[in-house]
Amino acid sequence: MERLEGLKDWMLLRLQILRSIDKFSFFLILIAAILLSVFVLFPVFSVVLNAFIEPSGEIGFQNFVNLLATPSYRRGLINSIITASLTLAATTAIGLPVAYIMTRFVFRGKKIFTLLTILPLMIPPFVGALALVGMMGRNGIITNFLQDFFMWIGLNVSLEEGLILPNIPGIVLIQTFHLWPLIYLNTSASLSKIDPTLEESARNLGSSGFTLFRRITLPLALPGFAAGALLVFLWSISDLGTPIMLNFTDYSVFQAFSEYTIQGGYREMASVISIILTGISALVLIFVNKYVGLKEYATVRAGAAPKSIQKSISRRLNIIVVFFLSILVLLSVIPHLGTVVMAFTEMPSYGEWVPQGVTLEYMARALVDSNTSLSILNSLVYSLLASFAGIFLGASIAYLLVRKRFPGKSILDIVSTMPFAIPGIVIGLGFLYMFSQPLFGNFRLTSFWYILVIAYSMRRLPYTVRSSHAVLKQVHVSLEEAATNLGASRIKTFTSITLPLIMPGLVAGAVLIFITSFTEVSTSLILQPIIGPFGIYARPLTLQILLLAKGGPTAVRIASCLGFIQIIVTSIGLYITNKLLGGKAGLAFGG
Amino acid sequence: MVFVKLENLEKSFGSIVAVNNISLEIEEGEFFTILGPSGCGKTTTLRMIAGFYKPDKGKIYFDKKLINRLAPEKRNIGMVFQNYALWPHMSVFKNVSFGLEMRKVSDDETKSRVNSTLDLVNLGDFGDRTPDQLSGGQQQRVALARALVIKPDVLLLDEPLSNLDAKLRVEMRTEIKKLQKSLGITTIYVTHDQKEALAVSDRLAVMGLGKIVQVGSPLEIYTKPANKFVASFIGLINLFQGKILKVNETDVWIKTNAGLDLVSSSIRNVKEGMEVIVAVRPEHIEVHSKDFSSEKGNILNGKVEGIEYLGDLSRYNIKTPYQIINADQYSPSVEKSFKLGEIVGISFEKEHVHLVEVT
Repeated sequence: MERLEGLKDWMLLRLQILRSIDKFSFFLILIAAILLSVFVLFPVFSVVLNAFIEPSGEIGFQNFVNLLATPSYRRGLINSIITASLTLAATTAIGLPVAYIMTRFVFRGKKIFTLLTILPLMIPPFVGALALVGMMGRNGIITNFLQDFFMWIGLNVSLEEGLILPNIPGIVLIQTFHLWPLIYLNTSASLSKIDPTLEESARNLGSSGFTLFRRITLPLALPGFAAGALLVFLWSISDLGTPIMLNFTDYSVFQAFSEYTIQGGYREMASVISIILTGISALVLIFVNKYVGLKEYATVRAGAAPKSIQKSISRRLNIIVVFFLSILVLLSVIPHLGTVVMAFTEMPSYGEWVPQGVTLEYMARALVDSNTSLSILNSLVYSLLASFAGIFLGASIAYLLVRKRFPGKSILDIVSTMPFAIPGIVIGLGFLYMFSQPLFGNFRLTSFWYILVIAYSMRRLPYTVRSSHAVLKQVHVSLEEAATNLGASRIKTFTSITLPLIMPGLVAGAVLIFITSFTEVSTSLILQPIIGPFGIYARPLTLQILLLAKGGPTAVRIASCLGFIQIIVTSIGLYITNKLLGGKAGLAFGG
Repeated sequence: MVFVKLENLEKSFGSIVAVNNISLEIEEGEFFTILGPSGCGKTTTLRMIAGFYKPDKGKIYFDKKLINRLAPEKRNIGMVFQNYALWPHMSVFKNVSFGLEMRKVSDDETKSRVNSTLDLVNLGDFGDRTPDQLSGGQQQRVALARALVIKPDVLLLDEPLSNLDAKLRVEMRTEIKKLQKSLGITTIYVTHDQKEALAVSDRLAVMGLGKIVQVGSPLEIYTKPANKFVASFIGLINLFQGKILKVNETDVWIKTNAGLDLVSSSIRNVKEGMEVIVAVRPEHIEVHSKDFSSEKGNILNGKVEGIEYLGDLSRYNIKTPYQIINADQYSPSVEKSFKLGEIVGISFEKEHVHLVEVT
């Protein structure tokens, strides 16, 4: 009886909360719930389900047992984990010192380096991988140059196979090229936010040097570093583009990809691998959340604090710092230079390393050829629509999370951030499993280009929710109340107060989805719709680049031209978001 | 201008009762303050009047009209928020004209009304600026102009001065009071600063734990606090807990729990044996050198344990055999001052010993 009473109270309370929601919010919740269920939960669930359906049709762990019993899969898994760990170590080794130098020291040339250090973000990783393989692989320009150099100094080393090989160091190298700014940007965001008085009071109490760094600075900067490290690890372990470019088959994501798409639709292994990768990502995410914490420490501050803790350094140290940063920047632009060289110069003959003059032939072919030009148009359309859809859904969810109370709010929060930790391959496979059945007649959702728009916007949903969340939080409720108080209706308040205030954040979020979708790899390669917006050619740019990159020398050059276009679009997008967000675009950026 | 009446208002958030059955009547054109510590429910009350919270129970009237169900945008209330809530994407002029725009006032009239209101708050030349180009005090004036320009029936001020520095706070409160009197708007002011409340209000209500404890003029509240809570919340006060020993037509004798004998001529309606709390304000206690003598009133000796020199007065912290007593000495001078550790005599007249509470 008592329990029944309790239940009744509970239901009354729920009912009360439900009643307190206005119709508009209820409508938003409904839409968000439906979209998230159909396009996030169901696909993920279908991958999970397929992982447990044994070849005999029964439910069980047989697939997992089979996976672990197969040496190549076991190797793939171990390689994936080792790669992600090594990439994390390498990016940390570069990103942490750079973050410390850039936030704490005043030195000559600092302004230029502030700009140059975000260069790696301008290049889509897939394109970067293409250029690095082209420059540092077998018969690459840099490989040949070094070979000659070694011969000249009398060192007998053969670089016949290239500097970047299809192995773990190769993958780590390419990933590190792209990912180290994530550590740098996130850590320096934390570092620069530390109230100088916190360190000053520690010094005042007698602590200095490394002790001060270890006891005060590091713990305060840890949340930023952890956020960056998490992005790097999750990115690396779910990276499909790099192993494909390198043709490194002993890699889990690649194995899952080829199991289903190349080997002809075997669901079991693809699903099992995907689920294990998701599990690892989730564990890492939970671990970091629990033991490090991703939130910034709120600093209680009374009165004005001195602005900066930056100190000038000696001339000698200045030279060392500039030298270190210069080397780093020089290495970082190899992918950019490589893309330009491969797209716009006549390549030297075998074994040589001096490009043979400038040419626009390949770019002209890329723009004239109907398939390549269509793929550019396709990707523009997909990304544009994905950014509209994504920002609309993301902003609605953020609005509900920031401003409303309703039952199931925490579920909405969790599900909308889920794609953050779910590898793209899971979304891709899930979409295939869910939507490739004929719906009516011969109509399959996966045959149409819309599927890519949906996949892109769902993949990037956490970014848009987060960016909208941030701007909405900055708009204090009293700003809206003041308008209501002066006689503005709900709609008028929204259009004249809320919307103009959150607009920069929304646009920045939309541009971010645009550029990440324009360069998206995994779902672009897995979902291959047939019918596009401009006829029967639905391939997005990234897929086109991959297909060309696997072709002959000329095709590779055209692929580089397409890559160049991606670099330009990404750069423009980053410029816009930087303007709108005041230099923080790189933080949300995870490839 | 309207008369505001609150009748048995109640509001809870979850299991926390923020406002517990309060009733108030605020006269036309009155400057009425709700004073209380943070979390006492004063802001909740204000937000119910503004319409941002719906009362769980009770009624809110403007004149004879029940407005419980009226949407906040229909109430014609001017409100100044604690953080000013100026819209950062609009100029000062646009901020102030917003309410008129909502009321579909013609452009010409809007212009003249906004300008005259900005003049009124001494910001005549600031129309083109954006809020982030203004100082805290100027932002505060814009917020005030924005609330006043619509000619509101009621003006609500939610801790409007709490973000300003001490000197500006005093200036602004004088200015607000002057404006309010010249415009004659019924005003409800919420603050936790007792000095502010005493300085500006025609009447004030002291709130504690969601209830109204006492309503009255500043003078009444200060001199005749209704209970221990009000007495100790408003100003500094010496409290004595004890028992009534003897009562005659004019005087009452009290023995405190610590053993001190007190006599009062301002206490009525008590009987012998009652447990009471009585109080004496520090400004009514005189400090003398130890060998003084007097025949009337209350006299005792003590040792100076602390001195706070405040310019216009010195506040002495005096340890007596019974309890610590705070006493103020006005216009202190080098010659007349007492030293730390000095034994002094203190006296207070019997008319200054007030009854606070019968326990």
